[in-house]
Amino acid sequence: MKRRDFLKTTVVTGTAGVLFDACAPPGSDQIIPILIPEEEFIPGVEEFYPTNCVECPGGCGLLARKMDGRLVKVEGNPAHPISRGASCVRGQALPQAMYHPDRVRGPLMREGARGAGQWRNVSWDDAIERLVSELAAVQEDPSNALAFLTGALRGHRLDMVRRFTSTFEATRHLVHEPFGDGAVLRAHALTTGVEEFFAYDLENANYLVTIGASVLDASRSPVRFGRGVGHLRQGRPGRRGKLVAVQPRLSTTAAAADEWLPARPGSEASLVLALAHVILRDELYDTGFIENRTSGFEEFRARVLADFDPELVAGMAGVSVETLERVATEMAMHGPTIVVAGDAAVTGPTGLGTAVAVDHLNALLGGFGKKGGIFFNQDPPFSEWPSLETVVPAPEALFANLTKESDASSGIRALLISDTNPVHTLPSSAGIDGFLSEIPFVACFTSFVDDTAQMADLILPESTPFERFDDDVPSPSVGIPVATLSAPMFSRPLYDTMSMPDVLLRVAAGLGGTVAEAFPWASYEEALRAAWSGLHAVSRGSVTESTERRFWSRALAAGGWWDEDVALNADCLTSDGLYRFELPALESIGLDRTAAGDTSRFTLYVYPSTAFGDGRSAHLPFLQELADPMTSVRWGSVVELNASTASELNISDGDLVEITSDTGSLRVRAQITQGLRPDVVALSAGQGHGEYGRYARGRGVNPFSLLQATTGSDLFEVPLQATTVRVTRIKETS
Amino acid sequence: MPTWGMAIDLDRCNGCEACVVACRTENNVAPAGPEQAALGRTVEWMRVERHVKGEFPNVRTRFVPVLCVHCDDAPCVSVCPVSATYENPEGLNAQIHPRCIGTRACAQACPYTVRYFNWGTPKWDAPLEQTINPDVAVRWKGIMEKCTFCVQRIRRAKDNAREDDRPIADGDVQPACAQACSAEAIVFGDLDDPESAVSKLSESARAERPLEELGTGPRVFYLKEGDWRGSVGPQSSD
Repeated sequence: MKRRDFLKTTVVTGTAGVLFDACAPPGSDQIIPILIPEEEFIPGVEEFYPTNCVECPGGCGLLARKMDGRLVKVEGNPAHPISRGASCVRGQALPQAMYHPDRVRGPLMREGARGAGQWRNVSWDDAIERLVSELAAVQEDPSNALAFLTGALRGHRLDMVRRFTSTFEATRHLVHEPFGDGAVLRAHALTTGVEEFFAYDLENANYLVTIGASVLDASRSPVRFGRGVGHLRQGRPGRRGKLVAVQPRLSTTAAAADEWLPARPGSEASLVLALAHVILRDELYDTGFIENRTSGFEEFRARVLADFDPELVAGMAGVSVETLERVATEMAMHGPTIVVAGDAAVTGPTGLGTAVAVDHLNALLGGFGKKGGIFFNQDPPFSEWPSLETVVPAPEALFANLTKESDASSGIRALLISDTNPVHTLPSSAGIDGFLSEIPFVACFTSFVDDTAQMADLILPESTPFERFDDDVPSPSVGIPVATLSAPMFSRPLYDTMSMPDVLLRVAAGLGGTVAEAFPWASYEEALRAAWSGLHAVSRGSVTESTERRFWSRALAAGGWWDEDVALNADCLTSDGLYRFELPALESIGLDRTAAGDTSRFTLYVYPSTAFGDGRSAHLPFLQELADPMTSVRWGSVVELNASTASELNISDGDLVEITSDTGSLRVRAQITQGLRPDVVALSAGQGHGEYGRYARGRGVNPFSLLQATTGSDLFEVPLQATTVRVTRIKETS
Repeated sequence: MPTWGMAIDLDRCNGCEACVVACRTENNVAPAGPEQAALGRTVEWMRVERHVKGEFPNVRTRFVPVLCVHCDDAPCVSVCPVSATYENPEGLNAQIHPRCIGTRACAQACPYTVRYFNWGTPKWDAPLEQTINPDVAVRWKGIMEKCTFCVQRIRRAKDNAREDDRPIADGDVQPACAQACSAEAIVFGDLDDPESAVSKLSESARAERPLEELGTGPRVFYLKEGDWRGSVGPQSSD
C-alpha cells in the first residue's frame, strides 16, 4: 500500500467507520473497526437459528449466527445434549460450505462424456421430469432395478430413502461409509441384542481405554468424547481419570492419552482378550453382573484362560507382558472403566473379533447399566408414518461388496446417490468406475461436484443444513432420547437448490400410483411434522405444549426435543435378556502369533482426518489451512514413517517417497515421527480429491487408492490396516 | 473495571483445534492459501502447539493452545514506533490497525510469537466474504494483527448487561475459542473478581504463567497436566 493510500484509509476509517480503499478486501465496507471507542459502538442485532451438523456421525446440535442477513458463524447449541454449546473444527468451518464459491447453484445435466465435467444448467422442472422419466422406465420393466446409494444417513432422511426404495419392485439400498464401524454395531447386536452405538457415561468413569478408536480426532463424536474426557480428567476435584489409547499410530487421541500402547495392527483382539485373561485369572471381574445378567461366561472364561495368556500375546502385539498385566489390573481396580473400539481396528479379518472382545471386556468389568459405564440409546417416540401395504423393505447392503461382483450392475437401470463419495473413498480395486459406467442413469444429490458426482448424468443440488428442514437422531448418543431439528434460517436458499427429501416428494408425485400414495405430504417439513407429532403426544421432555402447532414452532426454536428425565437403561434385548458372551465371533482371533515375515513391506494404516473426516470436509479452505494436530501439515498430505524405519530406508524428513501396494502407488513427502510403529506407515484419509471444488482438488494424496477392497464382508468395505506396501525414496533432480 | 484473563487447562485440552477454527471464523482471519502457508505466513491468533518428548514407544505429548497472553507489561507496546499497540484499561493488549505501519518490531519483541504480519491482502473468494463477522474489522496487507480476547464479545456482553441493568457476570463473556472447546479447557473472565472461575483456576497448584520470569506479567494461565497415579484411589464408591 502506498503511504498516501494508507493515510486515506486512516482518515476514512477514523471518521466514518468505512473502508473503501482498493486494498481493502470485499465486504469490509460493513466492518466496524475495532478502534471505535466503546461508547460509540453500536453492535448489530445478532440472531441465532438452531441447526444440525451433518459432517460426522456425532450429530451435534448447533446455533447458526445470522447478522446483516448473512450466516457468519456457528456455535454449539448450549441446550443440546450432545454438543452442550461446543463444536469441533468441522462444525466451526461450516459457514464456508454455504458460501463456497464452487457450490452447485442449480440442477446440472451432463453434456459431454461421463466424467468430462461438461454440464448444462437446467431448471428444477426439467431435472424432476428427467428423474421421473428415468424412474418410470425402471418401473415399466420388471427386470430393471433402482439402486439408492447413501452414506450412513440418520433421522428421517434415512426413513425417506427407505420408504422411497420400498415403493419400487426391485430396489437395493446400498450404503457406503468408509469409517462406518459396522463391526462394532454387529458386535453390539450379537452380545446385547442392541444394534446401535452405546452411550458412554464418560463423566462418571475413571478409566477409558480406546481400542483403535480415535475418539478425540474424528471417529463418531469428537465433541461428545472431548467433553467426556475433559471431565474425566479435571471435572471432579481430587479425582482424575485415566485415558489409555491402543493403536499403531500416535493419533491426537493417543497423544492426549495418559498412556499409548502401540499394538501391532490386527493384534487388537488378542490384546483385549489378554487383558480379559488377567482379569479372569485374578478374579477381578464383576461377579454380581456376571452371575445375574450374562450367559455363556464359563465357555468364554475357559477359552480366554487357555489361549490368551499375556505371555503369548505380548510378543505378537508388541506390548510388554508387564504393561498388559498392569493395565488390566488398573482397569479392574480403578473403575468405572469403559472400553471403546473403532476405526481401523474394527476392519479387516479380526475386526468383528476385536469389537466383540471389547464388549466382553466391558461386561467382565460390569460396565453395563452402571454409573460411569455403558447405557443403550433410546429412540425418540416419533409417530410412524402411514404404513405401506406393499412394503418390501429394500435390502441394505454395503456398496463395495456389490461392485466387486462381476455382474454387479446388471439390471440396475438407475442409481441415485446421496451423502457419500465412493469414487474417492473406495479403492480402485473395488471396481467402482466400471460399475458406474455400466449403469444407464446416475443422479447425484450433492452441494458440490465431487469425485462421484463428476460421473453422474444429473446433479441435483442439495441445500445446506442452514437452508433446509432436517432432523437427526444422534448416534452414539447419551442414553436419553434425543432428536435434533433444523429449519431454514433464510426465507429461501442462497441458490436454486432443493433438499433431497423434497426432491423425492416431487418425483413421487410425478410417478403417481403407489409411489405417490406412499408420500402423502406436500413438503418434507410436513412429513417431519407428522413424525414429530409423536413427540408432542407424549407430553414430556424438553418441549411440551398444548397444541401440536405450538409444539412444532417451539421445537424448531429450541433445535429439537430431548428427554433428560428418562431413566437410563442397559437392558439387553437378547432372547433371554442376558448379556451373551458370544464365542463364534472370536474364532478368527489369535492364531497368527508371528510378526509379518516380509520385512521389506509395511502395513499401511489409514485413519480419519481431524479436519476432513473421510474427506467430506476437505472442500473448506479454513480446514485446508488448519495445521493437522499431529503432522502440522496444511493444504496437503504426508506419509508418516517411524524414525528407525526411515533411517533404514535412508529416508529423511521431507523426502519424496513412493508408496506401492499390490493395487496402486502414490508419491508423497515423508514425515519422520516417533509416534508410529516401525512396521507401519500411516496416511490420513481426506485428501487427494480429483474433484471437490477449488480448495480440495489435487491437494495431497488419497490413501484409499492403495487399499484392497474386501472380499465379501458385510461389516466393512475397506480394511484400513490390512494392506501391505513398499516404501522407496524418490531421487529428486533439482 | 475488570481485568480480563484466561486459564487454559492443559490436562483437559486434547489438541482438537476447534479453538483455532472458531477464532478464525469469529475474527475474520482469512486463510493464507497453500503457497503463502508453505512460507509460514499463515495467520492464527490462536494456534495449538504440539510438544513431543521421548522415543518410540515411550512418547509423551502435550498440546498447548497459544494465543496472545495480554501482558501486564507488554514488550510489544513499548517497541512500537507509532503507538499502534497499547494496553487498554481492562488489560487487553490492543492493536490499532489503521495506525500500524508494519515495522514488525512488535513481532520481534513478543516472546510468545503471537503477533502476525499480513504479507498479502486477505482474500475471500466470492461469496465467502459473506461469512465475515461485521463485529470485527478486516485487516489489510502490511499491518500486524493479533488476538483481541474477542473484544467485540466483551462489548456485546457489556451492552447486554447494561440493557438488563445489571453488572456483567462471570461467564457472560466467552471468547470464540473458549466457547467452541468441548473439553472446557479454556476459561475466560475477570481476574480481579476473586469469585470468578478464571481467578480460582489461576490460584490452582497446577497453574503457571508462560515465561513469567521475563516480567511480562501474562494474563493467560496454563494449568499443567495432572498425574493420574496419586489422584485416583482404589475403586471409588461414589
